[in-house]
Amino acid sequence: MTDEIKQLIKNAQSGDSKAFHRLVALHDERIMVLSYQLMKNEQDAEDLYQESFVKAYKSLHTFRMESSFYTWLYRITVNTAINMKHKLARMQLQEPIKDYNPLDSLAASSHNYNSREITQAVKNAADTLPEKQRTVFILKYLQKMKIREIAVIMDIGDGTVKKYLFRAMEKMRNELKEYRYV
Amino acid sequence: MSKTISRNLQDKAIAYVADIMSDQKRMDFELELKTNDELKALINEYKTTLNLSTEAFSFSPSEEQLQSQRLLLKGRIQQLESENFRSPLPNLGSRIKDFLTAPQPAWAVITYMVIAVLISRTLPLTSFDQKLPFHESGINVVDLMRANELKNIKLTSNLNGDSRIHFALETGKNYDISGGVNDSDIQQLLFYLLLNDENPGKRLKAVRLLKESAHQLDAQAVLVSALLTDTNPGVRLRSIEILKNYESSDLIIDACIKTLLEDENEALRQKALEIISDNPVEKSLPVLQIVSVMDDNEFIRTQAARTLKTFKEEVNPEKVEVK
Repeated sequence: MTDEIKQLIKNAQSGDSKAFHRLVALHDERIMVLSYQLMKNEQDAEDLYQESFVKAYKSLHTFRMESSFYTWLYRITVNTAINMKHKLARMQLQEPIKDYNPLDSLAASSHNYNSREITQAVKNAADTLPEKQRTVFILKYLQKMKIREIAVIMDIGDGTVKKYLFRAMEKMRNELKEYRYV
Repeated sequence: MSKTISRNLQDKAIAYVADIMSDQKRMDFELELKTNDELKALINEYKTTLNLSTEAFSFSPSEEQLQSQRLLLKGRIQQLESENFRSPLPNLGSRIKDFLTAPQPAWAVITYMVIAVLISRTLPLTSFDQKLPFHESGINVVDLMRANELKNIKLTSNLNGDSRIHFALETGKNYDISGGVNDSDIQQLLFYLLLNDENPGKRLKAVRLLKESAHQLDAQAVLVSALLTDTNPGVRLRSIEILKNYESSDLIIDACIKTLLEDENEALRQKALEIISDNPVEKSLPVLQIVSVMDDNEFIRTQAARTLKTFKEEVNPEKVEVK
């Protein structure tokens, strides 16, 4: 953490909202990318961005400079994403569930995929992962974070992070079998 | 493929691809890799899976998107700050006086008239002949409003758990009523709260709940009214966010034009500009010209200029003199 960031945090903690907005401008690109990766679409990602920074603003006084500001923001974003997803899942329960058609996957096996279909397939595969495995997968492979950082963000042990990582990767490999040689 | 590779070796392969092995373990693994073709193939599968995932999740937000989100966040933070410092009773007298004495352009007056007509059609005060008994409680919400008996509406809980809204109505008698967000009586109560309650917290709660309701003309008119007259920027912001999801109408565009020109809150002006940008109409052109030069916020000026340029290509070009 640079001296400039530390000073901005101190000023923001003293009630200087301009300092807070400067901190946002310095950190929000990565938070927006993470939000997009954690949520299913851009609209939800923007909601997550907003909620995360509002929470950061409200709890800034609790930040003790013991971790990097990014790690602290990531932790807030990941926790907020989990809460938002639970809320969205409750709402979606009321919507009719699309019938599964086994012929769809049969048709898919003899199909030439375009990049859009592959993107959708990867997202669908990621959606089949349990929440914590999915989060670890995103933080490690897409956000390129270290195991220790992920452990701090998710408040779990290093070994648990690795366990989630192994299970997530194996499941993704299986789910994306038919797309590997495209 | 990996049926003959043990779970332990699979985990090692993943750790190898993830680059989380110690130097010694990595060297040992690479020795095994040289002699094990099946393991090599597995490593390749993991790498391909990672490549596919990285591509699928790649996302690079534009500077415009970030600026827009920052403005919105500024609006939210301002709202939080104003809630911390607000007086318990807003000065209604001066609010009304300021509102009435402010010079209004003709289109704004027309907008108010449209809103007034729409509200008068839908709000309970004019629904004297409608008898809408509330099926669960047996009370008539409209009659209570008409008799000015709804002085202390308590929104005791909302969409938690059972997706029903619960109201405690304190009148001559006390009532507890509940219903879905699309229930007519519940909507009337939410409209009433949003337009009449002095407590900004209750107004915010009402507008949040209206977000979940089906898009209707009366709700649109109430939200436009809240956007143009509510003193709390948070309520105005929530209102315009909901209106953004409505199908565009003259009413919404006129309200957005007024907001873009007059609202002191940057996030609100930004949202209004977004709605105007999504719905090119001729009457927005002079407004965009003004905003592209006069707005205090550089980002809004730039966005307005960009929208103006696009509009000039899309909206009846003969009528627009490009200088």
